[in-house]
Amino acid sequence: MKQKSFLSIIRFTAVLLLASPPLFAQDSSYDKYAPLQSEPKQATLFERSLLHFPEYPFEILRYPVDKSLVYMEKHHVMEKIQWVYDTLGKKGLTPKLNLISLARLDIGAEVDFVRALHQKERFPDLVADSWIHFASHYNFNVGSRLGVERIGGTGFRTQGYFQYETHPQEHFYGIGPHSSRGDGYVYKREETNLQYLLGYKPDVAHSLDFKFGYRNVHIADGRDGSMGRYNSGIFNGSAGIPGLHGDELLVYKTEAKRDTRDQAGNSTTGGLQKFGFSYNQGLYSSNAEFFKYEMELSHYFKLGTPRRVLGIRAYGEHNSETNGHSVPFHQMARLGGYGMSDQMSETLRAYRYNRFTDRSMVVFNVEYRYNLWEYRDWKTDAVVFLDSGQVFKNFDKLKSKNLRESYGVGIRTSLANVVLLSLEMAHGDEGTNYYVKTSTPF
Amino acid sequence: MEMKEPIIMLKPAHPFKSSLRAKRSNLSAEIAAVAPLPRNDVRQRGLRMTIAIVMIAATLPLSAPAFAQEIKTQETSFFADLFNQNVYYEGTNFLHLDRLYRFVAKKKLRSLDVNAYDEVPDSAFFVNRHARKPLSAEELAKGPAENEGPDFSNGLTITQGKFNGLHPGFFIKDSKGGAYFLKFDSEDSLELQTSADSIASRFFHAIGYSVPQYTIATFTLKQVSIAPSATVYDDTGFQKKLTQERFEQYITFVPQDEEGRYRASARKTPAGEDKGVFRFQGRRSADPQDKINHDCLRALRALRVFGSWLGEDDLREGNTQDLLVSDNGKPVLKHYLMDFQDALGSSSNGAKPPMATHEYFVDYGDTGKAIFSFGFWKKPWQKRWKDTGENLMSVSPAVGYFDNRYFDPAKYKTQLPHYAFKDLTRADALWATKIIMSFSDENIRAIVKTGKLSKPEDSETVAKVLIERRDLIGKYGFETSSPLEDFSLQNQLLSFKDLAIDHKFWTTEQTTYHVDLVNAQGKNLSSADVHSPTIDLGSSAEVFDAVIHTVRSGSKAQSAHVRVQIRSGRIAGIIHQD
Repeated sequence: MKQKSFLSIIRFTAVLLLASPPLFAQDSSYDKYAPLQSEPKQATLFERSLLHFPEYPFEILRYPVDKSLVYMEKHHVMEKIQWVYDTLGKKGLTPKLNLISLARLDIGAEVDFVRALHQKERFPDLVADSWIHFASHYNFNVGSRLGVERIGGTGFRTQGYFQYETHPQEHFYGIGPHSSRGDGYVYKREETNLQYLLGYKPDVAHSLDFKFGYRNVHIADGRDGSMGRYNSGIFNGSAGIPGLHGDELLVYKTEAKRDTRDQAGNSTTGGLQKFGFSYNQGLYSSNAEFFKYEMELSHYFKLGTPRRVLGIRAYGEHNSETNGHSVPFHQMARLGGYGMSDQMSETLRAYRYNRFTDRSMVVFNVEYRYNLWEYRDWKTDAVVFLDSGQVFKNFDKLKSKNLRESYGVGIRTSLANVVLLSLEMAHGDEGTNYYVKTSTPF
Repeated sequence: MEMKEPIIMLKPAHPFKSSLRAKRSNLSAEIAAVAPLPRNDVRQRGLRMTIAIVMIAATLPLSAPAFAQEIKTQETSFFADLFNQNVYYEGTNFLHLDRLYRFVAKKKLRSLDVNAYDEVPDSAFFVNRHARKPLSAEELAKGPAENEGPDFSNGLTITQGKFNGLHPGFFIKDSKGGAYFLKFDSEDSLELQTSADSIASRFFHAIGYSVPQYTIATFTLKQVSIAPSATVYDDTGFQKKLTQERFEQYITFVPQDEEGRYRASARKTPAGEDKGVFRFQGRRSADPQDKINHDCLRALRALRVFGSWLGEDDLREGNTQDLLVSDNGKPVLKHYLMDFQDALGSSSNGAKPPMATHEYFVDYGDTGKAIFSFGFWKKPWQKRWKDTGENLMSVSPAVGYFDNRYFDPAKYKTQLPHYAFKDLTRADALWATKIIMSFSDENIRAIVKTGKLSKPEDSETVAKVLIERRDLIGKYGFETSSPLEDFSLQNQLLSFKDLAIDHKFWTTEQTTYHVDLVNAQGKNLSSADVHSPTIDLGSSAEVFDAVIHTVRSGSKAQSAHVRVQIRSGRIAGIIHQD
């Protein structure tokens, strides 16, 4: 009995102790790190599905991209691609890929025979290469070069050069600054060039070259559903367009160049000064005979920081016929489009490629490039530009009122200053053009 | 003292086992419902209980492998992380209607892994360590280490190589059977990355995260041999046999100390079955303990604050690991953070790039500002970059790019923007700030010492930056919240500690507590401004909540309130305003 009473007292005391905090409400100590007392309320799977429903169509796109990226890293796909590219390069073969527009790729390759034959160390100044490029309905280009740079370490150089190219969709809108975009015609241009170069290049920046070459230009019917056909409208024999049936030319050219740019395609400093003069003589049935004068000046100014660059460029060209002969239309100055290379129509981005043709041309380009984002060698720049230019027959016809303007904006992403993607929009009198490129115009 | 990791009982997921569980539940219910039982029934009950226990016990060994199979390995890569977080989720952000609603209504999503007192209890993601009970200098320096690192006394064997640009890594085994992964410093920054791994991993561990053991190992080539089966994925992307010649070729780019020894960060391979990474949003439905969407975990959100303190900007899914471990025979999924070479002034390729911690990898906001300012808006990192003379190693190659110029806790950015980090609320930040402030100067120095920087001035620089940054975070975190702690209720007097005053960011004279006493219906019973951390609740039994705003004279920041829930004369809960 006593034992029972004793147990009852102990039980009572234990209960009292356990219940004491709420009873007395004096000591309110608590365990700050107490576990969660109940499962937290959150949206159920069904509710979550409903709330996230608008995203699901995009999830279909995300999933394969995510899986592909994981696969690529897991299987070292990028390293393999890089290795293949580097290995081919070491063996003298360099694959090339350029974006001409969103839907058009220029695919090509260059072969360095000196490297391919493992002779680069033995003959470091020997140049022997070939190339091939192809872009559907746009360009086919194949060529070779053989020569020596820095003969005997002197800076003198010599090269032989061969190139065949065909452009199946060249456009022509007539000659002169007032041609109409509605009078657009399409033709096919095939050109074969053989050239010998003797030059002097004392350092990386300076060069003086003499070139002698043979050029065969063949004009034929091109195909573009929206354009007038060759030999129709103003683009026929009766309209007096010189060079309509193509020409064979001998070219004697001198070119002096000073190039202090830090990067040819995306420069932040330095500039380019280039002067060219050539005498072009028609062969056989060709009536062509003319002098060509070319001048290009560009400079890049850092505006307080390499992240803000102002690039300015001026280009002028004049073709002057001699002895009552003519300048073929295909050798005249051409203006319009994005530019990019010597062989192309000069930069006037709001206008179509080859939009203006005449014997002479001036064009000015101003670009303000400023950095938006960078991470190590990756950069994205914005660009604001203004192009202004005109074609004309003679200098007395050069009128400021005939200048055609083009202005616009763009974004360029580069890696180690090599432009990987350039998106640009240009506006002018004839509308707006959009460009997706892997290069810069200057 | 090491806190015990949480033990998580995982439910058997097989249908058979589920039905068994249901049966067991029914059985218990039946047993509870019938009382008292006749003797025969008692026997029957005993028999049924025995059968049930045997059956349950029999299924346990089965349940572990079944669970292990069900938990699928989750994979990611840097570019997948980049695409998902920086492109896809940034673009589809507002297609989540709940997120859109919160954005329009300016509402915050409260963390769900907090208890009634607004603290994060121990879980598979987080274990309260230093903030709960200060660790000694020895414990801090030891961190998660189980041993002293690789044992070089009998040499070690390379079992596999990893080559990334000029940065080789090697999986090794020492004579005691310990498996490690060795990583090295960049060619021009001896001690930088290896010390970052060692220091940051210990900080994260002391804070409460699971991290692998990192130790700094020094060795000579003579102490290393290559296993005949060792292979390497080299820069060709193809797997090759790791020969002595190839090994020496890779190690050429690794810097050596003055005595010609190599210094490596040795990561001990944690025990457990690798289940890949854990996600920063969503949850593993196959893991019954993973009940809360990860973007609602305070422990995960607060990584942004801890990252800002330690300069760790590479907090992404790819740097996490889930390991299935056995705890007393039960399968448990532990969530690890790993790879800390991007902490402090370091990055995986050398010193931290100048834009890191200031911008996301692709930062649409800052890029947008740059577009419309035509390049004339100077980003904070550009100002800092200019101030340092555009030199990543202006202090020392071993310290890298680490200082507090233009450091702003509110604007700290990891490489990739995660929902979890963007959803960080003031209450989450306060919680993280309290933990950071629990580290004394001595604690910080004790951990920095484990970086084994050869120049004492380098160690002191790192420690000073961390101490100064701790205080910057503390000041900001406490200013934008009501950092009131350790509430107690005695004789209707509610008292508390003000952490901002304790840490001397503000004085008592500068501080006023605006108190609203509210009843169960939300009606304001009374309001008062008090200047001491004691509030008289009065005699009214109606008081349900005490809502306290901390007002600091001279502060421009808008402070959040703290709500103390009082039930039956006890503190039943504390809620800091999000």
